[in-house]
Amino acid sequence: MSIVSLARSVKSANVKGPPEASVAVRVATLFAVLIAANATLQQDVGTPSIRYALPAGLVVAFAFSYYARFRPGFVVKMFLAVGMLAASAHFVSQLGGIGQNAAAAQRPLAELFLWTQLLHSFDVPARRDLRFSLAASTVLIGVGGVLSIASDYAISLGLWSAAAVSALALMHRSELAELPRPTQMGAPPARWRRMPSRALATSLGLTLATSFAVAGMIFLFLPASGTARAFTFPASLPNVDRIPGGGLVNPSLGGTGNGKTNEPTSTGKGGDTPRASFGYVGFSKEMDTAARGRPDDTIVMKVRASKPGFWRGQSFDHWDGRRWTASSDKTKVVNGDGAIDLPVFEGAVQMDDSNEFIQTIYVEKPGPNLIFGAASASKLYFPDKSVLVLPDGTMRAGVILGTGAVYTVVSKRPPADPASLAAVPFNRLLAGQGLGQPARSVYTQLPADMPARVADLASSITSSSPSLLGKVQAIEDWLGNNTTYSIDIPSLPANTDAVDHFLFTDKVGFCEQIASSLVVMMRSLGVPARLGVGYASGERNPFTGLYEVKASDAHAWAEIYFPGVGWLTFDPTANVPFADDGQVPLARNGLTDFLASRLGPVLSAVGRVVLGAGLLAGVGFIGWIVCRLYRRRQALAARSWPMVWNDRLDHIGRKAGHRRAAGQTARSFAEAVGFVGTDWDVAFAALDQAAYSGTQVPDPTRAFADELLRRASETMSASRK
Amino acid sequence: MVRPSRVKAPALILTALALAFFGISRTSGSGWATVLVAALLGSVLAGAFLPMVRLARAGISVHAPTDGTVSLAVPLDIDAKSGLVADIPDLGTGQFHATKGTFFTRPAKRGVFARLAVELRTSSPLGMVEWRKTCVIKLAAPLEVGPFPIDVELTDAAPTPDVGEEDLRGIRAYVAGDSSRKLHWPATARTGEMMIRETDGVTVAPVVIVVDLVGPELAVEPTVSRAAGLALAALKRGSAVVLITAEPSGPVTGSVTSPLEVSRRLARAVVGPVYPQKGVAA
Repeated sequence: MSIVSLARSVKSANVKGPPEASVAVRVATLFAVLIAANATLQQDVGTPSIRYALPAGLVVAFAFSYYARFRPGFVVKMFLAVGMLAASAHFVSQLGGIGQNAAAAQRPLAELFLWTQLLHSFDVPARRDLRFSLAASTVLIGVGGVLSIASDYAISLGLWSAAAVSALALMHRSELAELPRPTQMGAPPARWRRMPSRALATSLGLTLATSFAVAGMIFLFLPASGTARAFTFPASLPNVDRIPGGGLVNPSLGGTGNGKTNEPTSTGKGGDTPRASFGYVGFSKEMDTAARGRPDDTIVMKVRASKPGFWRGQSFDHWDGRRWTASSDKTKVVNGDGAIDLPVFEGAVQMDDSNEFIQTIYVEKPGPNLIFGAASASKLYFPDKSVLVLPDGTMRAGVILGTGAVYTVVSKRPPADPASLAAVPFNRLLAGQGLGQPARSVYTQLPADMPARVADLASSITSSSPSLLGKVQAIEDWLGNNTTYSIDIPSLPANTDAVDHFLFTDKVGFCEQIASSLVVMMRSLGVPARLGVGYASGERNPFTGLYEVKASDAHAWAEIYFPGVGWLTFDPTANVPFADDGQVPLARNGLTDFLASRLGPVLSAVGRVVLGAGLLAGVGFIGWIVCRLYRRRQALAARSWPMVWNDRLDHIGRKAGHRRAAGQTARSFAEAVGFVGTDWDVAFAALDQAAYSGTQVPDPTRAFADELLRRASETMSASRK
Repeated sequence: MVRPSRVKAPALILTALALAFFGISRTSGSGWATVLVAALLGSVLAGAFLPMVRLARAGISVHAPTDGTVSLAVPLDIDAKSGLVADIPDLGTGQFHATKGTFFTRPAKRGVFARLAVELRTSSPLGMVEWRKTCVIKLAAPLEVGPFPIDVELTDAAPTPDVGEEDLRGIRAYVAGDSSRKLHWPATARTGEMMIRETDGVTVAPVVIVVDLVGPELAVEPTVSRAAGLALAALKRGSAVVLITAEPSGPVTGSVTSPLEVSRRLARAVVGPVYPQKGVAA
């Protein structure tokens, strides 16, 4: 294709289309664009100037386009080109400070798109231009959706869908209106072209309902959103509030000042501010299994991940019979500019990238400066230039992680599946192979005064299991069968071994008691094990695709070392799959749980109202039926004997499949049905006398005629059976 | 049978956007992007199949007059659901937006139409995929579309109406085209057959127009139009006119006395022999 022909093609493609006259089309399109733009602005996109200018600007721009639709538009295009250059320059200037992380370019890019949309709206004379605006609004609502982590985005998406579908329908109507129509030849039927507003509303409603229904069906079968091939790794920090010394702080547990200087303890006491309702005592220097009280259901963070997992915060390796602590608090400072490569620690297994597991954490409530993520983290996208890494691979931030903090963790899940793990034989001598002797000592440590019956129990439970996995599962099964999960447990008596008390006395406990028992029993078999603390995966919101982690999801579990595989997580109280369970997650995963938890209370209230209304309606209906029957009976009683007799004859005839024609006499109809004979002659004579003679028919004769009908009815019913 | 006819731009654009956002949802982990994909595909599928349902349920009724002329407006009373685009190819009309009312069309073809094939199309309500269906509608009475007459000047040689006295020269048997006014009633009564009197006066023979159409269908239309013009001019002058045409049933010879009769006769005229063939009854 020559340059000339290419230029011609471009020119012909840009020929101005016929002006769109329909105001309704423009209004519907404007609504779609406004909703999409507002939805994007709500995601913290754009400077204040565009946040305020855009809504009014779009309205003005669409109005201007309507009034200027017949003009050539060259001058307008020149102004718009200048505007686009300015917006592009603004975008480039914003790109200067975003560093290596491409995710940081999302919002400047979205702002550039908003400017483009605003400027384009000044030049939408034709239907084709309005379609372009509609398509651009689709991109905008999608951009907002990508940036949104909130459930209420559904409102924007629903409103936009309604506006966009309406705009499409109105555009089609406008297109049809251009076809030849009766008015061209005169004598047009009045208002032929205008669809009545009620019919239009019905049509639009039906279209919308169908679209939503089909979309709902499609959603059920779409694969879930995933981050397996992520290109952007969000990380941001609304406020940089540094922690002196790099220790562990947890403002949610209360304490002195702003929570930056206290050493949080498992009791959460000792400060001038109380423990927050969402504070978990396990996110501190120690975890006291004697402590009671669980955090509430406040959502503390949301996690974008393709699969559920344990969001690990820290681990404890030293057990004194009551408290878990970390044997070493040595941290290593790891630096990076946006993307931080994390070191590989002892016991970790080298893995390729095939089991990469990406999680983006959105902090909703201020909590500990622990960096949560699935084991084993290999890379961290963090808005600070350095993080502190502990020997167990857990991380701490050097800044307070308040509401709005975002970071992305890339973990490499050990290539483990039940079949391959079951093939790992248990050998006490080989247990902990891959760990150095000091580490083996740390992870098999047990208190000297631990009752011997704990180890005896572990040994007896696992004696018939030859593999390491078999022994773990045997203990899990025993715990599942012989203990009860409850968060409401009695206090731990003083000077009592918590595991022994749980296994042999109380037999009731929650994750901390259960996981501690599993760790301690595995250690008693010589297997390196430790206690992991963090959050369970939380409830998946099928619409945002995020796991919503509540404070009550705070959890403790056992981490057991498998030679050649690494540290694996085990927990009889939560079902978390291994790295690859072979299932393709669907978008609908978690939908029923989500609906039950969100809509349950609403449905319960609505259900009560509906039930009450249904009962009232039922009572009303029965009353109506009774009333109707009563009135009918009254009406029948008020009618003369010939009329009643005639109606009964009609009814019996209908049962026989005959319908009385208009004007057909009773005798004729009865003959058609087959009611003939002397008896019937008597009945018809009585009927004629009663109806036309003005004299009374003797009661015996009436009774005879009624009896005749009754017998006929019975005969008819019997023959039908 | 309802068949898809055309995929329109909005469907393609929305599908492309849905695919793009599917890719985005798979790489960004955004659940809302997945919801948007479902919404876009839902709209596309609803937009693609609602017209099919609408068309499958749609019917159209057409009431036409019994007579029409090529190129002159013919009123058609149509009744169809809104959102349908109709086309009546038999009459050569272009597409129009069908709804209830009277539509004036200009037939492009001459002929007798007992049935009209109406092609219905729709992509309503969203204009995404167009579907079509052909309905054959039997008219209450056939629509006879005659030719558009071409103006013709009659020459002086053309027969003129009878104006003078008549002298009886003889009597002969009736042949087709003879005026009933020439019947010789006494002879007719005597022989039992219609007999015509022949006179020596200024009797003028009727204008006999033989519409002998030969050739492709479209090529003969100017001839038919010319014949129409000739017949109308003769009628206008007051002459008796006899048209000899071929109809699907065979040759037809008969006088016409009004423009309507001319139009109807010529509407029925087809390419074929205008004289009785040997062995075939005239």
